[in-house]
Amino acid sequence: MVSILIKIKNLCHIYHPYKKDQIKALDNINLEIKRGDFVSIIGSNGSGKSTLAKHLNCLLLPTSGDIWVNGMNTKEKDKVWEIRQEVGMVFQNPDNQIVATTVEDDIAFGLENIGVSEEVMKERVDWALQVVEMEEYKKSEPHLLSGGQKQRVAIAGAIAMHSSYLVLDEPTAMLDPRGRREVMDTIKKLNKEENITIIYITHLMEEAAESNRVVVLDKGKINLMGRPEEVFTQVEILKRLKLDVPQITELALRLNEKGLDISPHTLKVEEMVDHLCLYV
Amino acid sequence: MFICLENVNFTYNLHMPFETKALKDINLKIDESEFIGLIGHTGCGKTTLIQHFNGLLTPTSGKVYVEDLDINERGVNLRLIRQKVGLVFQYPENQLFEETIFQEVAFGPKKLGLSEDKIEKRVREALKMVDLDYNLYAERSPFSLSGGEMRRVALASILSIRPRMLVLDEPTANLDPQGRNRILSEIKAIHDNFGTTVVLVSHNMEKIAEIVDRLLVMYRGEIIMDGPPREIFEKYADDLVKVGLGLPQVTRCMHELKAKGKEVYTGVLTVEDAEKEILVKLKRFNKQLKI
Repeated sequence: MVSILIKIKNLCHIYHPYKKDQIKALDNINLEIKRGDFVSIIGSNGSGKSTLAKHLNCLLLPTSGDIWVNGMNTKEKDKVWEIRQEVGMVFQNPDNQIVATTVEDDIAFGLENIGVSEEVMKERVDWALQVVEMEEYKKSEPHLLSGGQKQRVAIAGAIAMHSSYLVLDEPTAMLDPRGRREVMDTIKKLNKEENITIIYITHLMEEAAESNRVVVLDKGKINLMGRPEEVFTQVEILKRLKLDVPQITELALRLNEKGLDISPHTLKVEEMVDHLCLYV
Repeated sequence: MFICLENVNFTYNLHMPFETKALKDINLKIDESEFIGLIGHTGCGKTTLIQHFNGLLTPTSGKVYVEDLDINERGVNLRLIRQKVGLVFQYPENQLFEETIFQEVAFGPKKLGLSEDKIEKRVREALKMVDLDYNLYAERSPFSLSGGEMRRVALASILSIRPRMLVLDEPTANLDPQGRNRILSEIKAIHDNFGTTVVLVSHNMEKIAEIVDRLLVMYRGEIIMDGPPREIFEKYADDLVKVGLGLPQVTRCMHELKAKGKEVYTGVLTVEDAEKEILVKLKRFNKQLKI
């Protein structure tokens, strides 16, 4: 039976292994990502987040250790294309990822490359556009879209391949608050309604708080892992790792210390408001 | 007054099929030593606006004055204006090019024609401002640094020109929380210690709310709000969301409490503010109970 998950075992990655300035970017990572999960990866600059992401679809290969995507080892050369189809990627800068002159052509680009029939292609493009709620922009020119819309087109391009995993490397870093909200809502919808597994790299703790599981990387190692409400209460560890906690969690922790009966695991403004309504 | 914009309009691709009006009738005065935040959704004209501050763009109509000098007049020495108004673009680390950090930061002062001694002094001073140890960093390659460090070197290479005004376009994008806090506290210190006028463009509502004294909100090429952040977040929360911006989490929390009929002050900007406000309200409530 083929296992439906990404399994990472003893993964190490060293940049320039034969030079003096070799850097151990990943150091013995063990992680399993199950179908339907929504995992966020946080960590300071240089902690290995992007290096890890690039291993998930064979853009990088392990120096030692193994990764299996649905049972396929990323080291098997003849599986590369199959793995890349399974694991879609969206990067930070939308302008670097758009290749065609209309939105629909851009989404169809990957499909053309794998030789899908025209009928299927049309069907998939329409489906992907509908999922990211961009149907009305089908014929638009990508450069006239906003940043958030461009990112949604990039996401549509990835899911049109029927990928079961979507890896997003800081997809909202260049967006304004509304663009961020759009992208986050799209991702959550993909996860819930289409059962696509999400691996989400971010520097924004508020975004990580919306996932099911948070992995904290530090110097290439997994330092903390757990549900967001577990991870974000470890304020001291997070600060030591150059990270932060969402404002609302910090407020909850402080009020909790002052003796208020507010759970330090509060992650959402709504929870906080409901709690406080009992008091104020 | 340091910078003054009078009825500034700017149109990209004027008289062309893709004509876009990026700035509409901007009137803006910025005094010496102000610390200003500029926010607005992508494409609202923020970057276009700041490029008018040192003559990188010339208004389609209207005037830009730097210290009462109309900078778009014929014969104005724009080099001099650009020494006064230092612009730090998005991802300034992409503009690093020298072999060592010393050379990188010395580039500006060298072009000013300063003596060797003075150049070294400026480099030391600028690196100190961004909290990089001269002895450890001067001879290293800027490309061997982490993202946050590269950005600070890029900032230092502007600071070494000793601009009177510093305009920064999204200086914290892509940095981890600590790198973010660090660069912002360095900018704040530069403002506080040297009286440098600062304009900070950012999407990070939490941080900008905390550090600036005056907030400008742009929407579709116009400045629609201008005032202290506390006031703007207190009074115009709904409008901010309407124009594609957000509120800091704690501010949103207070607004939602108020919407549920609780008498709380909504102009909170930081976690400390919110904590204080909630505790004060609690005390009052507890007293009533005792009576």
